[in-house]
Amino acid sequence: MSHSGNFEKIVYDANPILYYCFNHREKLRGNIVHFRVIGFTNKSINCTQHFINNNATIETIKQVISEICKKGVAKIVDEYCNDGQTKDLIGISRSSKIPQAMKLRLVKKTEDKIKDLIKKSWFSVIDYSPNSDDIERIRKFYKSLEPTPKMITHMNGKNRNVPWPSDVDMMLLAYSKENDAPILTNDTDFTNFKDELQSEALCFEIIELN
Amino acid sequence: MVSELPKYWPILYALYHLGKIYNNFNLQKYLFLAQREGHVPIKYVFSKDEYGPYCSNIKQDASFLHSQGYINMSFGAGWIFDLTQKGRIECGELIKKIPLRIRESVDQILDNYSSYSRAELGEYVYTEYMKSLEEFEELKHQLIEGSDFLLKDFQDLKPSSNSLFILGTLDYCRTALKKENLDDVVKKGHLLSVIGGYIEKYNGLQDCLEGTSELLPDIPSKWLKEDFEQVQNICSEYGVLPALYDENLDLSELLLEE
Repeated sequence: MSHSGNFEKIVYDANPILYYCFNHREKLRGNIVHFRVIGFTNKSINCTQHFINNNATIETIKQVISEICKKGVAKIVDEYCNDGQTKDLIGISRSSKIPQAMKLRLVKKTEDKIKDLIKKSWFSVIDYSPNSDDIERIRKFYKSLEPTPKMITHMNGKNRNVPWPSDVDMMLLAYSKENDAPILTNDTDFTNFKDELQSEALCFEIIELN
Repeated sequence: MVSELPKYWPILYALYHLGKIYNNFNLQKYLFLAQREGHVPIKYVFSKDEYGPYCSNIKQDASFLHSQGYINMSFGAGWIFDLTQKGRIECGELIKKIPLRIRESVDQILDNYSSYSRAELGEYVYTEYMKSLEEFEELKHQLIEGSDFLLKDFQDLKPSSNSLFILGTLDYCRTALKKENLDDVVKKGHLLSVIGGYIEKYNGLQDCLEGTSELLPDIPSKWLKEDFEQVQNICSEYGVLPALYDENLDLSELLLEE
């Protein structure tokens, strides 16, 4: 986390939630193996503990949780299981595939941890309906960057045809601004344009999880 | 929820529906057929016996119900079971907790088979369910091929909670089939019937979607989740493969040497 400020509340993007919850100890051939996103799971846990210790409330919006449950968990598990290091950890050759049943188990365990997280007293899921003008302003901001080399590179990296991020991401920015709460994220849709978003007052603040 | 009911509920319910059951043999076969053909979640585990599929717990539970005053048991040409007034009241309470769909399944099985004589019932169960191990092995290979085909067909689905559920559960079924080595034809038949039924649902869905299997993850999977629970329960009960979500599962159980 490249920030040490104290906040009353902080908004979590999907990734910090996924990294926090993708943290499993499993039995494998009688030994215990630890499944986590190296680098990010620990960071997310440490950040979260830092905010809890400082009596901050951690929030996200319902749409983020919904997206996580529909696609986010599956995506992180799929990517993790396609990684050569994970195959090494499990003890299968890199040309083999990790069994789908194993992936499903990791999905279920991650979903269970998300359910537990939602119940924590320091974590809130907000039912938020953004103002459509705010969303349009954010969309126009990203659109205005379309011809810039920075955005062209960004769009190529994201393999996307439009410069603006998902509806949920734009809602999160609007929520951050409306509630004076920084967003914790490592999503390049936010972090690559952190300074611009902040100077245009389209969000309160972006805190990078890196 | 049926899972919250006492294990003996099907005994009371069968007596409630039929009034009287002549012979332990018939009681055993009615409950067996309700489990296999009616897909009723009956917890009794049947094994191969001289007289076909048999579960000693049924007789033990009937004796328990007798000791509690819920049923009468008398011995004539065989055991005769009937419900007491106390049992009728107890069953009336239990019925409120049994979903209509399940009650109708049991009713249908009892109505179908209660008219069979003991010999007819025995012959039917023997012919249908006491196949040779070789026949079951053949069926198992067909099911493995079927699951291979589906897994191949669905492998390009984009990762989502539902698509990983589909692929993960089919893979679990395939692993269970490859690992199972049951030599009790009743248990083997039960396992293959439950897994086969689960795989068949995906075949049915695929036919409905006419090759547009990318739409499959959009299909609500709540009812598939209930069916997969049953697959896991059977695999675990028969010691073939632990339940996928079992906290103590060793992941190596899911790895196949191919």
